[in-house]
Amino acid sequence: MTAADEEMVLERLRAGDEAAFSTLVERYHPTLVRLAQSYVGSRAVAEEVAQDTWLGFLRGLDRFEGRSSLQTWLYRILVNRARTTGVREHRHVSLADEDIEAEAGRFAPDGSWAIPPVHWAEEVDDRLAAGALTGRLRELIDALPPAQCRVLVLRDVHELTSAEVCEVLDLTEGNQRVLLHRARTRLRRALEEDMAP
Amino acid sequence: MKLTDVWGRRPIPCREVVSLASDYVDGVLRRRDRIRIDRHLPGCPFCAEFIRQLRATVAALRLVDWVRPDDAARADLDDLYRRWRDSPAG
Repeated sequence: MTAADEEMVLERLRAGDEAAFSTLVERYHPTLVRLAQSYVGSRAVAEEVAQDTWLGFLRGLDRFEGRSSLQTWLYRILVNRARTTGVREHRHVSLADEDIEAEAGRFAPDGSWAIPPVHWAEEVDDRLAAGALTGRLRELIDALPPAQCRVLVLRDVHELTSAEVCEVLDLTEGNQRVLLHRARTRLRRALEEDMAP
Repeated sequence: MKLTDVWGRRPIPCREVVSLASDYVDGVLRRRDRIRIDRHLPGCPFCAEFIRQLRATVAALRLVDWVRPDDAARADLDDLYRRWRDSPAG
């Protein structure tokens, strides 16, 4: 959404236009639930956190000044709420649990490949064209460690900028890049295992 | 493996290419490392394939969508909006 589109949606929301709200729900609710789930674990609780986020969003509508984009602001509310709920449910995951490099063990002592990647780049293109890959990718994203999952969903699925992701998730630029790298290489590895003959 | 190139720089080992791959495909690597990888790829089919696969993975992720809210969730949210709109406190 451009800044002008956002301004229009916000005006319609403040004026009580239900259709404007439905459009936003259609667009952002699934992502809110997905992100919430990475903090709280259960789908049902994630759904509650997402609803609670919409209420916080509506209540803050008059205070929103457009310093960040609407989506960054919405995700930010979600993260705050999901964190509180996640801590209450003792589901907090530390970064150390996620400290696994997907390609560790595939290199010789001199740093060259010992177990090189299996060739598949074009095959993925074919399966993508057939629409067969998105379901599998959803499963793989669900299986990522939570912190990696959040960064990957925001950066690669929803194409937020690195600065926006850092703002939403309270990460340093460096940590964001590390988490993104780990998440992407993990998915690449999983797809490689899928494609192997 | 040669220890240095003609400019006296150490060629980049495959392991390091992989560790920088995500920043490389995003174009956010510092210039020096980007050049080292640019020089490495034409001579290394494995790293070239790895980079191609990482780009394909990122491209595939852009097409992922989530399950749409079901009718019950949608009705709850419509209701939430009406209550907010119709409450005097706002």
